[in-house]
Amino acid sequence: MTALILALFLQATPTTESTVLMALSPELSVGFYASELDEVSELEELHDTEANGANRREVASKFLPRFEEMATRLAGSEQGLGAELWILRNHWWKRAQGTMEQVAIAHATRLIKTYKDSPQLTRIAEYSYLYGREGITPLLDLLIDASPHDRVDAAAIHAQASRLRRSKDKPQADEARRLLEQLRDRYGDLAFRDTTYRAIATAMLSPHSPDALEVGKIAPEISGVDVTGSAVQLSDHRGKIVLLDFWGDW
Amino acid sequence: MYPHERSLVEKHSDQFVILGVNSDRSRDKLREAMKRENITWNSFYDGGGTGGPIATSWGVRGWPTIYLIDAEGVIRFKDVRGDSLDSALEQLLSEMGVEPIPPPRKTAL
Repeated sequence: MTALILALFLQATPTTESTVLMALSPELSVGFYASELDEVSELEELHDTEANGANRREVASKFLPRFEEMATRLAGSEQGLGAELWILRNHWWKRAQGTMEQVAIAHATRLIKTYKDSPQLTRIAEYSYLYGREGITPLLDLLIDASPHDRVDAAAIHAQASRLRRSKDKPQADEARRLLEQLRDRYGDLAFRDTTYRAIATAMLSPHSPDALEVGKIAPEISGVDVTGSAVQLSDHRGKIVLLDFWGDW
Repeated sequence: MYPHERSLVEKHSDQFVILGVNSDRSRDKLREAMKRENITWNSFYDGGGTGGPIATSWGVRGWPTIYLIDAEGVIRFKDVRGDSLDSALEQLLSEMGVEPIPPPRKTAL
């Protein structure tokens, strides 16, 4: 337990008052710490640590009652919504009657109506894989209508365009293009993860043609940054053989 | 990860580099992976997820995806791995006049 507290302590912002108290007496200030910082985030971290490499469903089931308790106790607050969103993402598959998609849509719809002013509703759009093909469009439209936040609109537009852009149906592909132009022009400056909606919408609007990526073609330039933020270009390595490796550690 | 390519990078650093495009969800995750796997080469950090601008531009939908690009910048091989990656790379090295690494010597009958 002490190790966990210390780990959380090390992650805390060094300027908060709770951290100072923690430094003086880590054991005694746990209650203060928990109420000061977000207890839902803390429980999410605990869950993620336990779920890592384990049976995800089992671990999620074990944590469900604690998130449900928080969702009820903290209802109406950002933390209450945080708990609800965890439940939406992790337990949509067994919450109630109906198909998984119907359950997720019903839950998400309730959250949009109850918490319409919360910036956390971006996560409803980020979980777009939960809702199936049928009900997702009205759900995302509802989200755009209900939320006063640009960030939520942008996330919903991005989710909608991601879904439509590979459609063989021309009107749908055209709609994706219109949404992506809107995303680029109106919300381009907003952050999307560690990049911007401008960068992502631009890439989605004009990806390299499959032809340009065939053997025998000059590889298209890549300009980006490495993990330290330093600029890197593929052409920096002209004159050497390059093994270009798209990878992830998952 | 690519044990043979790692040794080739070390042996032929004048002719050959590995350049990653990483789609992990955070810089911390990438740093941790580089440390754990002893990855000595550089990677683009593609914005913190699989839908990043570089992977999207290149139409990448499966990981890993590999392109082998020659010294002139021409795409020469795609999605080679294991033995076929080794032989593709040795072909390109020999085009550059680099002595290929001899295959393990077979014992004469």
